[in-house]
Amino acid sequence: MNNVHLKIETMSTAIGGFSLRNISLSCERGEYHVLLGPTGSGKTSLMKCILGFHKIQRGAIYLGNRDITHERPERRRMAYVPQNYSLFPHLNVEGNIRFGLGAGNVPVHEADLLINRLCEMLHIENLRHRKVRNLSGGERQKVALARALAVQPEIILLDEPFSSIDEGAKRGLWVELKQIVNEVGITAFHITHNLEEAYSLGERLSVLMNGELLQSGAKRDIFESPLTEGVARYLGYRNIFSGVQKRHPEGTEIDMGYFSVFVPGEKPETTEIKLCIRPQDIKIIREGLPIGDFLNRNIFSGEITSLLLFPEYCSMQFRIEASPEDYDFEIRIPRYIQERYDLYAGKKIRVGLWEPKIILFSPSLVSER
Amino acid sequence: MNRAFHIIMWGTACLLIGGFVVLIASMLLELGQESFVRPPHLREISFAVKLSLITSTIASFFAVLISVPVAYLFSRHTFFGKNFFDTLLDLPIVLSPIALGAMLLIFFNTPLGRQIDQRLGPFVFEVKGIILAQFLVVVGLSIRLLKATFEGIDVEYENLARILGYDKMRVFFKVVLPMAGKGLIAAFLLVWARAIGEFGATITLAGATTMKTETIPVAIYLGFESADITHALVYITILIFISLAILYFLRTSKVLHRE
Repeated sequence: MNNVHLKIETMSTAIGGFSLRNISLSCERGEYHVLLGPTGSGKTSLMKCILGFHKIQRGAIYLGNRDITHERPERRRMAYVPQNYSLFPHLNVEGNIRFGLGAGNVPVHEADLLINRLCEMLHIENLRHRKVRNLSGGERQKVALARALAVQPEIILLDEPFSSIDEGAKRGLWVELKQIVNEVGITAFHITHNLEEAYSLGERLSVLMNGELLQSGAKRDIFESPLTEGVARYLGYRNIFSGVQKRHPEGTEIDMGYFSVFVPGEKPETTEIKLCIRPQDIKIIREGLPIGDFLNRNIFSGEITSLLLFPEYCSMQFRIEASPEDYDFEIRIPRYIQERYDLYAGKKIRVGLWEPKIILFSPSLVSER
Repeated sequence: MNRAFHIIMWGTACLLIGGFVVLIASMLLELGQESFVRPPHLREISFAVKLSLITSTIASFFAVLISVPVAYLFSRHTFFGKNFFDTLLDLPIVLSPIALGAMLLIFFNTPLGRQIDQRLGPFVFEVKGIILAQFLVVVGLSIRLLKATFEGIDVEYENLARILGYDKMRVFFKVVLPMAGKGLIAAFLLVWARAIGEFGATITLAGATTMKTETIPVAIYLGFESADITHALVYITILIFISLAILYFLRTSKVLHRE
């Protein structure tokens, strides 16, 4: 627990007509923590609470051993990179980076050394005397980052820092940002609604939806074991079914009425349950080849009802034989699989559910909170 | 339909601009043809121009100075009765200047007004009265212009500066004022142009005494009152050129329009 750097304890507050309810999360020293949530979920409001711009009505916020719940923003020793970077237009690049040092009365020669080091690290030496209005999105982000790091904060908070970056340039900048944060060794708290961004950058994630923190934990746990249907849907789980548990000699059988799914191990002793699986975890069964262990107990015959081709993948809808629905599974496969297996709408195929990726929601968490 | 639309747009604009041009041209033509009944002495013109420029500059300076905190408060904070007070501050923009001048005159007849007149004045029928009248007429406009300027500055800049270690006062001087610089200059120039042309409140409070409280608009009034049209036309021409120069500078200045 001593390694916890940022800690929010049962925090609640109302901002206008919106409220953040019972938020508890912790962020370890040096950790890259991503707060993930859809637009309007309260991410920015939560960040403003951490920064000290919104008063909280209940709970507490700690930074290291300090209780900063009622501390003024200027005394919190944090750094902030806002969504649009907010570079001061009346100052040039160097003026922006130097700005925070003026508040702390850092001696000029020390400030110069620090700025030199930051410019070198972020590869922005050539921009030092440029006007900020002449910078590209990526350059602006680096200057905003340098300005934030210049004050040598305890923690850096980043509010959707890639929202104004071109799609093509984002991925390269994710890697660069992560490298810089690791190099500085600072704790980072980053908010985004972008799943890929969260997965690429975050070591631990928290999922905020409608003002409530639904899940917080290691990146892998969040993406592979969502605790609620809401989190699952947000993370891209599309095949969600309501079913009834039945005993099976080797585990549990979930009966959906017109089809059933086998799940290994014993599940919570409840009758009704929800089952879900991501589109990419449903595999096409190639006829004439042996079927792997994790697929062979959940194989379904049926027909492709529609097929959409995207540059990087292919999305299909699949209807199980004799199903009353228009389609039952949404499946996502790489483009080369679609070409190799010659898949098209109307083709009859068999698919298998990848057993380890089948997720069951316990009844108390089934409903949307 | 496109042709008709363009004809309506261009036609209306040409008619209006033409109207203004005709007004100014006819005045200049009249000025060229008139034989001066009593040509205004250079000393008189110089006095009126100087008095107008000095009083309007002082009034505008104080109007902008006082408007800065008031406009910032109204642009950033929500408080009980804000809409009412905001409307109250708009009153000088729409109220007749004569009414404002009369209100000032009545105020200086009250015990409090007499005290202020004794300590800071005298204002009634004095140059200080001109400054006060001009100040009161333009302060509403100044607040309105600066409020728009402050509202145009994203609060995020201030938040960011605070997170970087600056308290509210230093944020205001290091971030808000420099970013509002062009808006401040533009507001001052507009308010100044308005103050130079102020007449109603000035004449009510400071009167129209030649070579004492004779601003350019008062000189125009005195010219007409003594049926000396040419005398008035000289001052009207001066007022038009000063106003046009300020407005043209506002519209074209690189300092104000550079990003």
